[in-house]
Amino acid sequence: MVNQLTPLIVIIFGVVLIFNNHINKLKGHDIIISFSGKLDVEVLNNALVVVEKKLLERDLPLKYTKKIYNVLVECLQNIFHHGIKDENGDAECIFSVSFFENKFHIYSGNLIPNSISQSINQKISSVNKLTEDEVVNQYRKVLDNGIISDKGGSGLGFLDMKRKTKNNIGFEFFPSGDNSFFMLNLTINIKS
Amino acid sequence: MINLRIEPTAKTPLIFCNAETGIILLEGRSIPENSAEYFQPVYDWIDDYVNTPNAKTDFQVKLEYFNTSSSKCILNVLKKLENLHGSGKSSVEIHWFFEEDDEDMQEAGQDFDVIISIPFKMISINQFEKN
Repeated sequence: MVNQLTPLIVIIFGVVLIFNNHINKLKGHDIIISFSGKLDVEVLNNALVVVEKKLLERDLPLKYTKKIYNVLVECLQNIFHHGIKDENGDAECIFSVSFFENKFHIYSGNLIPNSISQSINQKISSVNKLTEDEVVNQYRKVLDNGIISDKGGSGLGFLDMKRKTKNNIGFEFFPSGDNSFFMLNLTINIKS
Repeated sequence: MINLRIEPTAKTPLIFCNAETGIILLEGRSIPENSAEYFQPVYDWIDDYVNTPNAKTDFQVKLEYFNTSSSKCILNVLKKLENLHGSGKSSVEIHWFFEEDDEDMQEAGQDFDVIISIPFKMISINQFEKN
C-alpha cells in the first residue's frame, strides 16, 4: 500500500511545492487567475470564462484581451492533450494569468514523462531562435502540412505562442522520478 | 441537397452551409479540444456539395477566436474549396472578416491567403455582433 501510494504522494507534494514557489514568483503581480489542481473540461471552460470576463473589465484594448485569451487556450489545451492524466482523464496542473510592470504573464505547468522532455526542450529552443519573420514562415509551413496528431495537436502550439506574444517562450523542467513538471512562462508586453 | 446548420456554443462556431445560395458561414469561436471531429460534418457536406455546386460559392469567416488545431481544419475546408474553384464548376470567393484592431486575426487570414489560391478578401469591421 505504502509503495503504491508513494509516487502519488511525491507527485502531489511536488506540485504543492512548485505551486508555492510559483505563488512567490507572483508577489506584487495583479493576479487575474491562479489555479492548482486537476484540469478537466469543466475547469478549463470555467477558467476561460473568468479570464475573459476579468480582462474585459479592464481598460485594455480588445486586441490584448484576445491575445491573452488565445495564448491561454493554447496553454490549457496543451496540458489537456499532452499532460500525464490520472485514471479519470484529468491532468494535475497549475496555471495563472497576472499583470506586472506593463506585461501580462501566463504561466502553466503540468506533468510529462521524462522521455519527452528532451524533445520539448529542443522544440521550444528552436522556436525561440527564430526571428519574427521566420516564425511566420515556419508557422505557414507547419499549417500547410495538414497533420493533426492522434492526441489532437497541430504542431503549431509553440510557434503560435511565440508569434502571438512576440517574446521568447520561458520554460523549466522539475524532474521527479520518471516524470517532470514542465512549466511554461509567457509574457505579453502592453504598449500604451 | 440538405443544408447543414450547427448551432454555436461557447467554444464552437455557428456553421451554416447553404446549398441554394452557395454561402458557407463560420461565425463565433472555434476552440474545441477535438477540432477534427467537430469539422467532420463540414468536410462531408462540402464533399457532397462539390458534385452539384452553386455557380458561386462564398466562404465567409467571421471568427473571434480560433485555436491552432481549428486552423488546420479551416485550411482543410479551404483546400476543398480550392479544388472546387479549380474544377471550374463554381467560382469560389473567401471573405475573411476581422475586428479592426485584431492584428492576430488579420495575420491569420493572410496565412491562408498565402497558402490558398482562391480570391481572398480581407474585411475589417468595427466589432462583431454578439449573439
